[in-house]
Amino acid sequence: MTRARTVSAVMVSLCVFAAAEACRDIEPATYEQRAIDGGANPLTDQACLLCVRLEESTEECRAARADCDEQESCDFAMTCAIERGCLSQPASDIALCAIPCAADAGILSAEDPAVTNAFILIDCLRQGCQEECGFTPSEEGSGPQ
Amino acid sequence: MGLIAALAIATSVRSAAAQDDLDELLSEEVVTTASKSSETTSDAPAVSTSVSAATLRRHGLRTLEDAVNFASLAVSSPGSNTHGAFPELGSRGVLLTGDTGNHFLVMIDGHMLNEPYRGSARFGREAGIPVEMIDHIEVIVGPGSVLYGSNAILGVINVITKRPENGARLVLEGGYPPTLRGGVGAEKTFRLLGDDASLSLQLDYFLREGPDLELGPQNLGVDRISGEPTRAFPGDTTGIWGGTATRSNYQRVPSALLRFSLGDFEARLFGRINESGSPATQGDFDAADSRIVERQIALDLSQRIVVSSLMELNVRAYADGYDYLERERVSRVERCLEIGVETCEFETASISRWAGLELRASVDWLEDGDLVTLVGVIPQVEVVGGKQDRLDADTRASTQRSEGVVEETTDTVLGAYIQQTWRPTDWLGFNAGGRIDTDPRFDPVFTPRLAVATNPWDGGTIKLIYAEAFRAPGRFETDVSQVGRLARPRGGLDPERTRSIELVLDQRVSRHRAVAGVFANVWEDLVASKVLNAEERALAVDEQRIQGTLPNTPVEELENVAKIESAGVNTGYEAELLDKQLTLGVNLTAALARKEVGGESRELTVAPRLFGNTRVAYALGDELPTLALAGFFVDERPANRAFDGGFTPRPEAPPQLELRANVSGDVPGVSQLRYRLSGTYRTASEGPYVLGPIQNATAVAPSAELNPIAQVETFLALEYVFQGEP
Repeated sequence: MTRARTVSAVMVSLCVFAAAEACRDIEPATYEQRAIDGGANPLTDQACLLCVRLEESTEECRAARADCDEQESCDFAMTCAIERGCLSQPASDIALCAIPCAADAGILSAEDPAVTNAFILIDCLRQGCQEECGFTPSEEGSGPQ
Repeated sequence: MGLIAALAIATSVRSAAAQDDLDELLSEEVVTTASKSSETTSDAPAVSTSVSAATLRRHGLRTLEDAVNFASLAVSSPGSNTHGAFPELGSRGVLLTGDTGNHFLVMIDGHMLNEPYRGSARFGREAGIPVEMIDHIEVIVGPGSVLYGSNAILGVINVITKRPENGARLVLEGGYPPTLRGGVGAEKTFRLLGDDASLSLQLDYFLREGPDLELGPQNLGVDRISGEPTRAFPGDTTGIWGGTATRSNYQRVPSALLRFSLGDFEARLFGRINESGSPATQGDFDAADSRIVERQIALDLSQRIVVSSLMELNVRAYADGYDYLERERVSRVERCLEIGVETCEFETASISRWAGLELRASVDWLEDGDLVTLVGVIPQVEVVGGKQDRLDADTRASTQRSEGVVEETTDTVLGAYIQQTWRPTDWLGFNAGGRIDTDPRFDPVFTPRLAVATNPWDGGTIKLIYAEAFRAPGRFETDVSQVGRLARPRGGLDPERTRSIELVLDQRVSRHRAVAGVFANVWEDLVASKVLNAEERALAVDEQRIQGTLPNTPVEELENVAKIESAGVNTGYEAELLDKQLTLGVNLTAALARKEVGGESRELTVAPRLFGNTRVAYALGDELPTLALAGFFVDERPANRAFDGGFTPRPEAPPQLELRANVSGDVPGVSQLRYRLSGTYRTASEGPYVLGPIQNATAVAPSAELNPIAQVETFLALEYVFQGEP
């Protein structure tokens, strides 16, 4: 029995050792919205900032913003896209730039009505705030084809 | 080991005095899994088969999957490994595809290998169990939770390793499709600290490169985001997935098994790494980096203590670690969702660590084996966690927050069981038991078993068995949510349950044994996904069980909503004739099973209704080889996406007949060199899995592509044995 007890102690020690073996990292990844290259961010300009935040925008943009605000996913994605500087991108790249924001907002499909509302607002802002922010006007709209 | 156990039983059975009876008993297989004690297969309170090392060798069976398919009453879905996944097991008409093996309990010498995060277990090459160290494999079909707890719901596989002798071996095995296995093993018996000791170790390395697979073409259509053809690989402009996969179909499995004994103390250490390519995933075509890597280590230490002639104790301590990483390369813009990133990687990672102690006591009240009480308690600590990431393939930077996160969680679970066996007369025996399992995520689960066996005539046994079993849902089911798609279950999940009743007739005549049984099973509270209605969706968002929903995208939630009813017959026959020169066996199962989800009833996908195997081997004698032929059959079955993929026609796998011829023996003129030469032919070239990115019918891809199966397979194995002193 003495040996049995000794063996048992060794057993437990070895098991604890084995249980402590190194494993895969499962810490959740942190993700920071990436600022897109392309020069100075026009949103640092106060006039531009006020415009895209609609304080000094047009009535059409306010209405578009209201539609977007009613949808949580559109609101989230738009806020993210503006902060990310997506509106300063060439029109053809706006969709790609905003995709991570859409994904974070839970928008997984281009057919989602939130996408339509978001792009109506983006087009509106790019037109309405062109002067304040120096946006390149979009001729064909910025939405996905 | 089997012979010793049979002798022990023989001496305890009063009616076995006559030489003929003893001979008959010695010829019978002895199993230990069904009741955690040695008994013959006909007496065991379950339907079990024992696949001996000789059978493995004679028929060229190298994996648990092989043993199950060619020599047991269970079934593995053939060819599932070419699906980029791993073999799946079923029994009695039920196979739950995509379950990662969590409905079958797998053990080595009674040590459970199913990890607690998913409950997964492996049965193919990836299991990494060195076949040369196997004494026999016990396969129980039907519930086994009464002694083993969770996961023992479809059945139990227990790999019993050989008792070490003296010697060493070198193993080299190669074949087509291109595989190579090298192994080195050594065994030694010696005296240590005044007691008998033994040590055996085998190191294995398995490598498969290929075969090249012709996959596709599958038209992926237009990317919803970019508006251009969906990229099937970096730089693709065609939108066509497919071609010849030359880089992604591979598998590398190093493994090791160590067994040490000192008197009544035993230790086992098992470790394996499995790295498998994924040639047929929904990601990029033929991406060598799309793969699964899993690592497992299992330590088991046990001490048998004989307290008196009445009582025996067994103390077992164990500790296990398992981790899993699945990586999928994707170049689709609509899946990568990141500007400036051409190719991204989806990574699913999880860890499981668990350790426990089993205290078992056995009391033989009459000291003759007729009235035995077995009690045991198993406290276990589990640490699990997991996540899913999307990364830039070039920089390895995350392009979104982790999804499906299960924070590292520690649970303490407890199992306690009792089993009473009673044989009041020579012709009647009872086995009754029950086990209770506690888990912080659900109410305690009680799983009983009651078996009555009678021997109304010479060599005949009739058994009536009622048993229940359960599967505890894994944390990957109870804790995971996905943005916009999957809500975490409200109030958690209950265990899946099954109830089974079976009547078995077992008849032995000399060295013949025949088994026939009928069974009926009901499975309840099976975990399945359910689409939430508007009210339920809103509730899921309010309760933060999902992050974000989409107006046009259904939100699903896992619930205990499915039910299966199955019934059928299974039969088996085996014999050893001509002074054991001729061995043969047949197993056949026919079952009807229906699955009901949300009021809709349908047959199970992937699960065959009719399956079986047959085998015959003849030893020519002296230095001549043993010739063997084995066959394995499954009937047609619906593919895994048959009912929810929208494909036309409905994808179904054709019947499959697998024939394996094997020649084994000693190489003439080369002392101590053994060989096995095997060839396999399969009649069907397709399996029951829809492969590739098209998992749902589209306008340009209305039909499904099923996983290809290599129809011809061969291998040659050489084993050089260095025999030490007896």
